[in-house]
Formats: sequence, C-alpha cells, structure tokens
Amino acid sequence: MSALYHQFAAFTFSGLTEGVLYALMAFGYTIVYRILGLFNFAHGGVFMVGTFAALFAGRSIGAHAGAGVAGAIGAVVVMAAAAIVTCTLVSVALEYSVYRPIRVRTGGGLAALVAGLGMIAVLQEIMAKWQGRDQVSSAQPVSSGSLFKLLGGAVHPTQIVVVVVGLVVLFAAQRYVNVSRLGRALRAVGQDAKTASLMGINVERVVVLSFALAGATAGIAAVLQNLQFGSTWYYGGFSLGIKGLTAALLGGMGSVPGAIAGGIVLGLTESYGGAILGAEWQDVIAFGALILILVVRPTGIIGERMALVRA
Amino acid sequence: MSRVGAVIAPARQRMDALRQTRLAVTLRDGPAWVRYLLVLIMLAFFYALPYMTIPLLNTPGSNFATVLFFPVGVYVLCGIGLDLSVGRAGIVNFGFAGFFAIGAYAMAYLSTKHGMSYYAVLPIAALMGGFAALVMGLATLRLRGDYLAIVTLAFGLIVVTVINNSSALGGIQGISGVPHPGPLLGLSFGTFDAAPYDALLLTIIVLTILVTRQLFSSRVGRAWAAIREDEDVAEVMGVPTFRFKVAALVIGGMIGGLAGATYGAQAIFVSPDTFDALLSVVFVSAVVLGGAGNLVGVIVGSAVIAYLPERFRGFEDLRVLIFSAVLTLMMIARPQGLIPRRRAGTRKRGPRAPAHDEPPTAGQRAGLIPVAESATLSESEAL
Repeated sequence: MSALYHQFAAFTFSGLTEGVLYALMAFGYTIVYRILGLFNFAHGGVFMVGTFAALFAGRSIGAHAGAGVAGAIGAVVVMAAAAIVTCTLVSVALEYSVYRPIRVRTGGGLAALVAGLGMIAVLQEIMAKWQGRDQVSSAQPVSSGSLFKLLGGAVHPTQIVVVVVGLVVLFAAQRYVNVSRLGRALRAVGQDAKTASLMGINVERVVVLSFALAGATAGIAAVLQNLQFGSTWYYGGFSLGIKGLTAALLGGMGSVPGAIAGGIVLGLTESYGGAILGAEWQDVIAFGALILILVVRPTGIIGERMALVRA
Repeated sequence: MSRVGAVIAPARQRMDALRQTRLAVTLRDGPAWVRYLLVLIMLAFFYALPYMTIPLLNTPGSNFATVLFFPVGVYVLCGIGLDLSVGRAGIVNFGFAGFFAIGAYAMAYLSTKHGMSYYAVLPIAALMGGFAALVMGLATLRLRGDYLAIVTLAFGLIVVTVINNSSALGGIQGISGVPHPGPLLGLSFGTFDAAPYDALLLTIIVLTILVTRQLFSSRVGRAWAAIREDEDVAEVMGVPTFRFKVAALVIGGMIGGLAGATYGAQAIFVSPDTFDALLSVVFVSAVVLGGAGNLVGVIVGSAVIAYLPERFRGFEDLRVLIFSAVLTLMMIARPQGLIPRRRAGTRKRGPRAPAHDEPPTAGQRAGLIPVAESATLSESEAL
C-alpha cells in the first residue's frame, strides 16, 4: 500500500503505457467483432509476428539509441512500417484461409473460436522453431533512461513515445471509422449485413478491411511493445492478446471509444492493483476486474454498440 | 458449395449408404438385446485394451496402458463433463481445466496434508469442482453467450495464478508424494502398472455416462436442449434458464473434479503448469472436433485429441505445431464435428436431401449469411 502511495506517479505512468498497448490490441478485437460478432483469438499471434518483423527491420538498419532525434524517428518509422505491413498481411491471410471457410460452412460459432486458438498456437510454434523459445532482444532506437521527473515519478522517453503514438493512432482510427466512406460502410455492415449488401456495399471487402485495420493497429502495438520492453519472444502475443480482449470487453465490445477507455482502465487497474497486492497477482486483478465490471454492467464501461442488432 | 464441401460430399454419400445396410438397420431398429450385447462386447474390449498388444494402435514412445489413463481416459471423462455445458446447454466454456485442476489439487492437498484416502477425497473433489463451477456460473451466466468465451478463459487463468502464488499448494513446485488409491476388488494400485487405473477410470466413465444419459432424457436434458436452441423462447416457455445453465456447469465441474482427483492419485505429482489455458482449449477442441452434443462424438473426439500426440512422439519439437495445424484444418473442413449432434425425432431414414448447388451470393461467400440456412437440420447447427 505504501509503495502505491509513495510512487503513485510512477505507477500511473507505467499503467498508462501498458494501457495504451492494451487499447491498441482491443481496437483490433472490437473492429472485427463489430462486423462479424467474432472473437478473433488469433489476434495475439498476429501481434507477436509483428514484434519480430519490427525486430528484424530494426536490426537490418542497425537502429541504436543515441543517433539523435531524427535518427530515432527514422528508425521507429522503418520498424513500424515493417510491422504494420506484416501484421496486415497475416491478419488478412487469416481471414481468407481460416475464418471465411468456416463462416461459409456454419456461420461461425465455436469452430471459429477453436480455429483461432489453433492458429495462435501455429504462429507461436513456427516462430519458436525459427527463433527459439527464449527472449530475443530488439533494437532500441529510443533511449529507455529516465528523461525528467513529473509529480515525483520518472518519465521515460519510451513511455512518452508509446502513449503519444498510441493515442494518436487510436483517435485517428476512431475518426476513420466515424467519418470516412469505408468507415461508414464498416458501420453499416456492423449494423445489418444483409441490408448493407442490398445498398451496394461490398460486404466481403468490408470484412477484409476490418481484418486489415485490426492487423495494422496490431503492427503499431508490436513496434511500441518492442520500444518499451526492448525484447520479444514467441509467446509474447498470448497474454497481451488475452489482455487486449479483456480491455475490449471492459470498455464495451464493438465500441472504439470503449476499446480506448477499457485499455487505459485495465492498464491502470493492473498497475495500481499490482502495487498493492504484488506484481504476481496482476492477472488475477485484471480478470477479477473484468468479471466484476461485467456483472455490474454487462455491456462494459462505454457500452456495446451492437446489442440491439445482434441479439 | 465450397471446395471442402465437394470433397466431403462423396464421403457423406458413402456414410449414408452404410447406414442403410442390413447390419446397421438391425443395430438401430432391431431387438434391444442386440444393442446391449454390442455395448457389453465393447465394454469388455475397453477393459481388456491395456493388456493387449495391437501393432498399429500401441504407442511406441510411451507405455500404452499409461497413455490410456492419461491423457486418453482423463480427456474422455473431461470431454463428457465439458459437453454438458458446450454441447447440451450451449454454454461456451474455456475454463474447464480449472475444475480439473481443483480436483487434482483437492486430492493432492487432502491426501498429503490430512492423510485422507483416495476414496474419501473423491466425493470431496467432485463437490469442490462443482462448487467452483457454481461460483463461476453465478458470476458469469447472466452475461451474453459469446462473452463467456473470454470470461471462462479468465476463470481458468485465475485458478492457475492462485495455485502458482499459494505457498500452501506448493506454488510453482506443485505437490509431490500423492498416495495411490488403496486396493479395490482385487486390484492393487501401484506406481508402475497403469492397467488397474485404466479399469478404475473406465468404471468412473461408464458410471458418468449412465448418469448423464439419464439426465439427457429427463426434464433437465430437454431444458438444456431448449436453452441451446433458443434461450429467449425457452425462458418465455417457462424454463428457468439461468438455473439450468448453472446446473450444466456444476455437473460438468463435478465430473472435472472426479477426473482431476483420479489423475492426481495416479500421477503422484501435480503442478500448476499441467493446467494452463491451453489444456482448456484442448478440451473444447476435443468436444467440438468430435461433435458437440453427441456423446459418441465427444468420446471419439476426446480420445483422438489425446491419443494422436502420444502416437507420434519423437517429433517432440514439432508436436504442438502439427497438433494445432491439424486441429485448425479439421475445424475448417468440418466445423460441425466428426459425428454431429442428432436432434431427437429427426433421425433420417432415407438418404439426405441433396445439397443445393447454386453459386453462393456475395454475402454467403463472405459468410455473413450462412449457406446452411437451407441445408439439412443437423448441418445448420452452428452451436
């Protein structure tokens, strides 16, 4: 308890950083759920592949800390591009090769969930076979040392990058869904696929778009994860994937603001709870919070968007 | 029709032809004693299985009788328990390994710390598994169906984390030195020979099947079927859906507790990493692969899921990869399971209605409008 009191600012900063990563993952779950009503359990695997793509990109350009601000930005952009492209491709490939055939045959259901969990294991095992089962350290173009103190807590440059980039991406994605033409098509299909199809919307393309958007945000999360922790491993996607899904449910499945709020609430809850009970109880705190909030408010904090439509 | 469907259709016609043969008709519609005799022969075969040497079936890398106990027998028992919620009442449950873990730890803790015997702990383990399921059910079953996938997964992770962090339960090291069951009916349970455990577990499985079959044909089973098909309609028709859904979880949890306790007594040693989230996923895969809601399907699916990785030991490094890849492919090729559920009263006697061969519309190809809407009943069950 006293740890939380004395280092409240530090716990807030680290919780916020983790929360933004959760929110980015939550966005990927929420956007696919909004269209298909499907929990894409393989999403964590997509993220994990992205962390390795960013790692290799960083290695091949020889990214390192201390190359100045311009150098750091350049390195992050290259790593991000690699991760985004890879994750988008993997995510769309999943839709084409796994989810679509199952949907066409049965309309989704439990088989799709099991196949998604099967695919995350496949991606993990391929990566383990290729890169081993240990942590692999990644290039860190952004210094991880303490930059300045705010309210008595040290702020790290990596934390600033994660929070700023993450929030900018999330709000851009939210705007894209709400304003752009394709975003409108996305929301229309989420409401009523049959009517949307009659109105001339290419439903197939919208489904692929939702997986592509999910993949792209997972790619951003992957780069930010590498910057924050400086390493990754084959199993890194499973727990972050589950936490991202938890965040999406906390905020309200299908709602983009819900994903953002859910991620940040989950990150802070974990950080504060871990400070009080010990870091080893973080998972119990996160899942306990999920069950508690869903019991009190079954549609999540912001409220699910599609309850009326899908029921 | 999809490409996968084009591959499966001829096989299905052959299956239908098989169902029309004289032997099949005699077994299905003939005198009851024929069926009982068949069941007895099968039971005798299964009791004798650990003692037999069958060239292709035996597992080269590990002891066959041990494999028959764990994973095969344990998975079958867990599959039957899990199917009560997944297949019968239609409740997604990715936390079954939690009940299994609670049973195993009840056995390990009570027998090592309090010197209780296997037979005394067995009912306690079942009750504890059931109690955990009750807590989980009361907390989560008012949620919308698909939310349960993640909430139950979270429950399983909570159980493992609590065990990991609890010094009374041995933490990460687990509990070792769990005593074996005392002798029963001339069978003595030792460390090396797994055959007596096979007989014990098979007996538990048979008793469980007898009890659950009674449930299926009772008011409880009909309530579950109604909930699975349409929960709102069931509620309107006067089925107390919440209570029956909790009951499905609790009875399943008790079965999971039994399986865990028996596993703990044979394995001597229990540790938390046995019960990770992957095990829950494997249980659900076993049920879905075999055909949720069909007892024979669930048994076959669980046995196959448990047996195949043991049969192909030797590629240690690639095992999980091959296993998950095959599992995913099976889900794509046959999402309704190997032996799908039949609905009471709709057993088809004649050949199936021909599947329609119209090209799918854009919506159907995207899968948002299931093609199966107009297909036969058993095919359209998407769970």
